[in-house]
Amino acid sequence: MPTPKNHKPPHKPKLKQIAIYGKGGIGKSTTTSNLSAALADLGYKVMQFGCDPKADSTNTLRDGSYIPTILDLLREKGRVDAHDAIFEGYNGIYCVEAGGPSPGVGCAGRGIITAVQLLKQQNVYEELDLDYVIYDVLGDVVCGGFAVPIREGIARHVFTVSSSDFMAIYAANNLFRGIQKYSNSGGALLGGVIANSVSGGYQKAIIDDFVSQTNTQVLQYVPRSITVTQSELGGKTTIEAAPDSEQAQIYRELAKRVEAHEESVVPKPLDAQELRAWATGWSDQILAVERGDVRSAGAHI
Amino acid sequence: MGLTIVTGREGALKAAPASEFPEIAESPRFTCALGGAYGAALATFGAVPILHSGLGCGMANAHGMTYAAGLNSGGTAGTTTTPCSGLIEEHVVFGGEDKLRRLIDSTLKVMKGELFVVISGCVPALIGDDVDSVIAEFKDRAPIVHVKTSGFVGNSLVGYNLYLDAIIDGFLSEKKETAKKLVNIFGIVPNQSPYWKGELREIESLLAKIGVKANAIFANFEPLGAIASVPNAALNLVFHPWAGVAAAQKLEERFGTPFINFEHVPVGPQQSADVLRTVGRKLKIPNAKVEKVIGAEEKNVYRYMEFLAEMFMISMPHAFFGVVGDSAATISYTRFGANELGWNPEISVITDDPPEETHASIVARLTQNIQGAFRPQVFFDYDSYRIRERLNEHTLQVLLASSLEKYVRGRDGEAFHLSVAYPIYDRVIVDRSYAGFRGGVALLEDISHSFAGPL
Amino acid sequence: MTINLNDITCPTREQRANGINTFNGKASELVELAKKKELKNCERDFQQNSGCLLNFYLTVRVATIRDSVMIVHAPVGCSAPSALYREVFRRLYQGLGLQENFDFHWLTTNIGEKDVIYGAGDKLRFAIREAERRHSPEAIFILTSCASGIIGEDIEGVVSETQGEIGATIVPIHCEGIRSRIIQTGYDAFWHGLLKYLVKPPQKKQKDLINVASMLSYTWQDRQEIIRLLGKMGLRANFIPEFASVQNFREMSEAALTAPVCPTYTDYLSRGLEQEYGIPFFLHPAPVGIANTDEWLRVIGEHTGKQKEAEKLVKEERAYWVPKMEEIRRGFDEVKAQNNGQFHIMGSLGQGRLVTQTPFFHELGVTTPVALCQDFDDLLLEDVELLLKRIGDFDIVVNTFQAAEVAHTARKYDPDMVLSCPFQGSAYKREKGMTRIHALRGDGRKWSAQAGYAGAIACGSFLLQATRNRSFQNVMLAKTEDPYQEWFFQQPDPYYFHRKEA
Repeated sequence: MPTPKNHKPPHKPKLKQIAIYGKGGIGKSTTTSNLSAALADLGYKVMQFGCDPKADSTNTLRDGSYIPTILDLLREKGRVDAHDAIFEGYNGIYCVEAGGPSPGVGCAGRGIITAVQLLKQQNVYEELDLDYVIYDVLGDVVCGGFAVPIREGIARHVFTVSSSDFMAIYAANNLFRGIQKYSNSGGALLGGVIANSVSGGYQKAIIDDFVSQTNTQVLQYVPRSITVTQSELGGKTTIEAAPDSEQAQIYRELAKRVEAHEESVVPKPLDAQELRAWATGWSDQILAVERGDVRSAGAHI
Repeated sequence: MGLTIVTGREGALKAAPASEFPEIAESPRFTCALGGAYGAALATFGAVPILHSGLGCGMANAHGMTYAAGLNSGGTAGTTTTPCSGLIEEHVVFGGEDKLRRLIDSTLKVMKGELFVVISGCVPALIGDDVDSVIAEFKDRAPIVHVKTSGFVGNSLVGYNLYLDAIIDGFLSEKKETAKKLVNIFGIVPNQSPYWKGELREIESLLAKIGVKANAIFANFEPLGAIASVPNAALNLVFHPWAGVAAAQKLEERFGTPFINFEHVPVGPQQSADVLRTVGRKLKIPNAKVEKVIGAEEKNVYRYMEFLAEMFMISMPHAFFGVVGDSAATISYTRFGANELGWNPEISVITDDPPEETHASIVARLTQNIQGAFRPQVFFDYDSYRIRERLNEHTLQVLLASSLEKYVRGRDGEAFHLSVAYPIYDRVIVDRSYAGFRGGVALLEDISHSFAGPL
Repeated sequence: MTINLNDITCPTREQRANGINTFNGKASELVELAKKKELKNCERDFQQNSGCLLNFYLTVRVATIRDSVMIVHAPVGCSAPSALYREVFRRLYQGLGLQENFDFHWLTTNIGEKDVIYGAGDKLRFAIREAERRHSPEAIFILTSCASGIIGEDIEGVVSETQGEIGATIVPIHCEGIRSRIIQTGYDAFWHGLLKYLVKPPQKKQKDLINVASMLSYTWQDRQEIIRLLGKMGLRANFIPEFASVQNFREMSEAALTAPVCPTYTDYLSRGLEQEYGIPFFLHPAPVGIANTDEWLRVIGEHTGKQKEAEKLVKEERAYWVPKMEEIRRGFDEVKAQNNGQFHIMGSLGQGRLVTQTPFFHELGVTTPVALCQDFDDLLLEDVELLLKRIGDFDIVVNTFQAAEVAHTARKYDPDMVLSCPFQGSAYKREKGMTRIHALRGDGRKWSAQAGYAGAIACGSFLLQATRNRSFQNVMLAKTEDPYQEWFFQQPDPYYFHRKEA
């Protein structure tokens, strides 16, 4: 059974700011939106802040519709009242999109810096009395702009969405490097990995190995599910479209874990050589499994 | 970058203090590449620079470059007259091409100009604006080129080189004929040499005396004509160890024009005579004609020297002297002081951050064929703090430097200072210079009064 | 408005106070639009060099702060203007109160190609240590740039990392040029850094100390005049930021009052000091012109319990200066008699000068057909309204150093004299002549003063003097070419190239 809507949490916690990173296309916005929806269902006041020039992070919270972005408003008016950039979505979730340039022009990273600062300076989080602000941030940390949510004390906890795909892990490792860099100067720390499209088998083994190598944890395994796809096609989160589904339950569990999560850590990213060696090790192993040479814990596929 | 101490007076190599980031400096002796290109465009009479940059780049370079060159404003198209796209946040995020397009279009309507020079700075370089394709839209409306600079691509001398490169690529197509007595002048960098206007004029008149016509893009009232005749020159002359050299090389490749690099502007009779003899030989001007000119000039200048030589002998004979300036200026003044004035070269500091590969040749110019018992210690540095510290380790009676050394007096606190090199904020320089036969006399006029007087 | 010192920097003027720098019309209309929050900034198609947050002119202000080091985290050109000031200010004679061997220190991180790709944090860290090693300063100011902003340099991270090992207080200032069209944002960013990092909670109250934020466009003599006037009331001026020592900033919290020289410049600082430490402030009037100076002293008297002293001083000073002002007025009467009974001056520069200078012109007996203003925002709205009530409606052109728009305006209104900053690209040869609007801080002559009573008289005399011979301007106008096409002057609107949408 889903938690009844608008149930009040026992005591008013401090505003929790979270950043969720991950390689493009990995299911980051899907996970974030479902997390937001589940937290809202738990009775929290949540803002989801999309930091991706595509500006589609919050679509499934608003029946698939796009909202004007902060940077669109800035371009039109020169001055932005934060309230004009905040839109209500599923179960009262405040939806914000940073926005950004068309592909191939301008500087998307600078766009994120501008948008985050604009909202912060207007003290909107306090005014709205938020419990959660969740930044949904594009890709690995490619340049300074994309690191903004994890530094300057903006987000406290970072989660990364990753599959067992090597490129996704590479992105996660890059993010860890960013977090490590900013950790001495009051930046965010790592809460853990949300393992997406990971059902078990060697996929799980790969992720588990990676997190143990890098001093972090898997917060939740989220299997691939047709329910998610169906919900998204209807412009909704799984929590909204299929609240009774098994997948919705998994997102609610994720939300509970995020709710309970207090202590984040400095990760130990692998350096370039280590990462390559690690990846080669795994690909050899998988090849061996497929040839039938080895029977290991991860080989029951 | 930075810091190599090349030779001591006894020829001993002295190690430079190591610095992890030698480029971190107090008051470096140049501005950025955008500034250098902007200064070059302003020096091209009739050109209108269009800055595709932040709001303050032009102003920073007005106060920090043209005013640093003997308190000059940028002229008709300078300071706040210069069109500028004034890029801010929204352009950074969404791109600045559209703004530039509108700026060029309106500039062509508002401003009088014979050619238009778009100079792009840090912002378009970082966000990747496609400036060339915007400019291409205007090619049929006016002569227009793009100097692709930024603040971080190098210093103002690099900007000067990029400007020449843009002019060559943008405007020069073919060689029509070789004008046998036409030479192009390169390496006198506007602003970086605060005396650029006077130096160009002096070199023009010097060469005219042996029947050679100097062609310079700068300080020329017919810039398009000057640019168009660049390929026709019989010879290119460079007066700087590294500024203008790339342009001369490119012209040699493209049009087969040979070049001579003097590495410095001639100051005083010896250096001037050397230029005339070298150019005369190369252009096959009869030796007798050249010597006749030199003879007349020498007779004139040394006769006049006698009017001030007595004051000079009282005021600052045999002085230990230091020179701080860009590589060309340091060569000119070190050699003039040592070889004509009987001064003892103590220290020469090169402040324009020349490329590593030119260091040896610069040092040779400063230490070979130098009269007297001493050779200067040569430093490559542009950090005003370290330069002050170094100078104060030396006993100096004369310091020919920038105005940043105005209050530096050397170890014994008795150095007489004159601003001869960039930046110069303590005197106004319009079109005077110390170049040419009479240049040395002019220099002595400006310094010999200081400690002299009748009994 | 609250100032949030937890933030790394201030909001832009656009955000904080609906700042604009494009307007052409009646002052009454401007005020109405501003009150309805309907003022909109326009994008200019034709735009000229103006100045940015860093370079109009934080670099040269911050560099003058004694016992500090300024680090400009930027490519080399951004700090180029700072090369001159050590030498320029040393020209001031010591008798005027400048310390002997006045010196100041700064560094550029000289951001290069590699740095914009890989980041320049290590360089900044090194520069901070180098600043400490070289000068053991009390404070290190870090000024940021477009380049450092676009590549997303983590300035706060470097500061918090290095602060522990450094004796100086590190003060980062977010003056990236790209942040705002309004250069005042740069000053706000500077005050934000000071308030956040440098101003200390008060150890004791100094009842006779008045914070005065002065500008480089007011001269050294203006400082002397303010010291003289406050001194006569038993008060001391705590001048910031130029030539101040770090201690002057630290003890701003102990002062009795923050008084303006330029209100729009001082606004953020004044509000911040009130909010954090309860230091009262006022923004109007500034001590420009006789009546404004009277009022300035009276308001200071009220705040410091020295009403009587203020009244006495005003009376004494008026007795001495008003006759001199009358003499200048008579001079202008003579000029007007030969000029159809009127004399129009087109002047003012910042918002501050807008509200102070126009009444001063009235004291001189000259009129202003149009006022120029670099930018406009909500902060001085009441004062401009007051001005409208006092002198009636007037035309106003708002732009930041847009030389072509100014030239067009000058041609259109055809004033008898244009006052402008001579750095405005050949502005000296405007139609009937132009003279400088102000001198600069490095000018120590009494002739160039503008503030207080002595400044009102000096400035009035200067303007009168300027009417007496204009051969230089006329010759230059006749013998040199105007940079602009005649076509442009024929457009009815100097703002022909404004896009009406933002």
